[in-house]
Amino acid sequence: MKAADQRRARSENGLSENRSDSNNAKHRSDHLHFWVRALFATRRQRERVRWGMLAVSLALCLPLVPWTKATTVLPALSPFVAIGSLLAGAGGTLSLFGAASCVALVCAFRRRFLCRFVCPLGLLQDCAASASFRSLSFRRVSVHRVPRIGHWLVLMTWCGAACGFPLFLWLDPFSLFSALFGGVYRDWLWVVPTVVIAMSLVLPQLWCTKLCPLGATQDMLHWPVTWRRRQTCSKKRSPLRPTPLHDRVAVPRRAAMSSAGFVLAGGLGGLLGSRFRRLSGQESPPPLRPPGAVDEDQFAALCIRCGNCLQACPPKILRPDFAPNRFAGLAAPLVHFDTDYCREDCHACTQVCPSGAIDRLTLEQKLKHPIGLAQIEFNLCLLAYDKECEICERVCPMEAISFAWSEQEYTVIPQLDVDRCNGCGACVVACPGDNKWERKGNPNIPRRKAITINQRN
Amino acid sequence: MTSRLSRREWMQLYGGATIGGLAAGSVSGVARADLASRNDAPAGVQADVTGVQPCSLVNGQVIQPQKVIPSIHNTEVLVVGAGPAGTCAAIAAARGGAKVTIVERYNHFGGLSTGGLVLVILGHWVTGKKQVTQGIGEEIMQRLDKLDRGIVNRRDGVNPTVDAEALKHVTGEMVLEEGIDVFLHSWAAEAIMDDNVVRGIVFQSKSGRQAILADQVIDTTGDGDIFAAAGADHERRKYHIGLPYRIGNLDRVDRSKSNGQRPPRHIGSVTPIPGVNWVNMHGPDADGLDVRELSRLELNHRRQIWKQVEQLRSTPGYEEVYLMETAPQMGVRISRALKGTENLTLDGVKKGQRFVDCVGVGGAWNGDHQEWDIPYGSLLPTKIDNLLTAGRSLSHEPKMSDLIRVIPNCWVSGQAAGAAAAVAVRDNVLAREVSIPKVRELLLEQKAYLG
Repeated sequence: MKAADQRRARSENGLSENRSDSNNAKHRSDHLHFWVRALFATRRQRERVRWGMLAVSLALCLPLVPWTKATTVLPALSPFVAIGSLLAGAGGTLSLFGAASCVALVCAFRRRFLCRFVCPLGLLQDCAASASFRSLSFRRVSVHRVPRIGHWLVLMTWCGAACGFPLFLWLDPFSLFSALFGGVYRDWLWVVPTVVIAMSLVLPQLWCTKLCPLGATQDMLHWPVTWRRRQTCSKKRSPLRPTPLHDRVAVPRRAAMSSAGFVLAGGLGGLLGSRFRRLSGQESPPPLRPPGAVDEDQFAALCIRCGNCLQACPPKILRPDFAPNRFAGLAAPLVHFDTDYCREDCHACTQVCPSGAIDRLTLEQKLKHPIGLAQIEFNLCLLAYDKECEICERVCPMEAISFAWSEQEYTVIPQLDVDRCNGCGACVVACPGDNKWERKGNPNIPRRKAITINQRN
Repeated sequence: MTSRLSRREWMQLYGGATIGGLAAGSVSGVARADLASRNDAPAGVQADVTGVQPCSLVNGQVIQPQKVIPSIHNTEVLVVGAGPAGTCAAIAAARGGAKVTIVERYNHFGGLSTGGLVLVILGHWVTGKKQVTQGIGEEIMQRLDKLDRGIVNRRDGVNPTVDAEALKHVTGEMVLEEGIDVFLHSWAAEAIMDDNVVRGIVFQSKSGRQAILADQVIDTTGDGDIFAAAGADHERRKYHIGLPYRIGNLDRVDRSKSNGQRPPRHIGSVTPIPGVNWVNMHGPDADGLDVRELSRLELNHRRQIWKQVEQLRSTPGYEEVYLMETAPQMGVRISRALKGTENLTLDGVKKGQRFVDCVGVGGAWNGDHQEWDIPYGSLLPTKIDNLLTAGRSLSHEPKMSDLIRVIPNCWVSGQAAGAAAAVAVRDNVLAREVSIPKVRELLLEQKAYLG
């Protein structure tokens, strides 16, 4: 008792001494401790990292950070996109694929690393799911029996990429997240990611566990480790104890089924990929793509529809193509010259492509890289009607337009220097000459300007 | 040739009694000299032959003898050329308190905007449908508004078209209201120099060769005749020279005959007069200072105009259209450009370059451009003093020509030059040393827009 009393007294003394010594400091640390505990106690460590990554992703995709290439970061982390576009023959810079290969390495050892820590789309889905089950009290539908469609998608995409067209590269969740914010300002690019999120209201986990190609990619990257673990597990299992019957039967059957599915998916993907160009419609003059876009077939294949270039374009002349001549180009960015032109002091769209569909160009390179070629229809030109106009010459940043006297027409005629014109469309935007007379009688006739930008042959 | 004239004819000529006979007969060098001397004499008085000093031919070269030119007038501000820039310069200077004289080679005010049938007021507004041409230019348009059939299409964001005669009338009235001395039919020929300072000009008219002395001279000839004669640095340029014209009876056109078809070419655009269109013409790049070129082009253009009107008449429904008039004055777009202390460049204008000595703000043709400053330095020659220019000849690079030369911008730069000359006279300083804040103040008083 004595000893105990003494100990208590000593400790009380010590406590009182402590208090008297550093009362303020103690208070502060108490406060800090309270807040830190409040912050950490509500959710687990992983949740906090996920919310942090959502914040970072938002900052990068909106973009809130003053860095031109910010929007590239998230889609460029995806090994699914990197492997797919490499197989489809993306040239471009190694720096694009460096980040993805690092991530791939991590994913090989940490199972579904991106899903558990990074994926902002997954977090949004989780939020949607929990909100819906709390408020609407849906009955949870089990998606356990749904086959792993994501694996098939990945194989189809990669095999398709190797054979000509990466079929589902655009389903990458990071680029979908990017499209959600890059495309939210205009057009309909946000529809697919919104559908994906809305899906989790009814069928939570369906996308993440069964459909997501990035999740499937991570599973595949993890295969060596999984396989080795399974090996060690079976070795550890005592030979004296027989393997349960369901294991003996089930494992080979599942393995056989899945490998058959993989072969089928890969073969189908390769077949579709190689035929996609022909299946997707007739050859027609290729549409106008952003400067630095790779060859049209390649572009339609490599573009992951993330909306980065649309968002990066300051005059907003890039819009997704929802009525393409060829199905392959659906929702790929298209240059429109009805409101503005491709600025001579800007190469923003060439800096943000995460899949190599648009080459990284310096400003000088971009100026020489043609979008198309201007074409002048003199019949619609104001000069054909003796009006005073020189706006195309004045606005052309490349000084590609000049006027030449024609004795035949007895007026001056705009002349185009084909080598100088880079199809920026400044003349098209400025041109006041159109087919007004034609539309007066019939408003259904589309407006046609005296200058148009057409694809170079 | 003179030897063929009889004594009686000699007497008749010297007496100045039979001008008709002279016109019908051979026009000789002697006869011309006689006419010149006659004009100096009061009407009805026998001409003084002793003062006649004809040019002589020495070794194949024409030599003009040294002679005294009568100085008939003294003024504070002398405006040479009464085009859009000149009229505005004269009015601005007169309103600034200066005694102003204006010398014009044709019989009217307005230059190309009336005599040249450049009837569209092009370039007085900028992006956002903001009108930058204010001051005297806007006053002219407001006065035209009050006239019946003076101006048409006058609304925001549209380029209005004026009637040439209405504009002649309005500018004439404005010049008269300000009490400006006017010399029409007078072709300015030479600058009177005192070292580097311009003291006046010599001009040619039916009254012979005469001089006007002035404190400040504003060269608004468009061709920069005076600054060239004064020896100021300048550039000569070739640009389209055309000949606009007007066609009539467009209200009698039967459009049902050409329904759905493209309208015929050379139909022109509306004017305030119903049924009358004006048709612009571009013409080839030519030297507007080469008289043979001008003569050749004039005749070519007239032939072409006749062809164009016939072509128009052959279009179904347009049979009644006829050629009303061709412009009395050729449409020289750019000929000389001063090398001023500041030069306007298209790059600068595109980048929205602003000047400290901004004395005016220019617009763009279809309001497709932001506003741009006209600096005082672009009106001011590098070496010559007491001489300003305005209108299409101010200092600019070739790419700027199309912005500089349009009517509203000539109004603006003209008003600026006039105000600056008035301030220089008031303060008794060289045009180069004029106080820019005072000029801007005067311009703002005159409701000019300075950005």
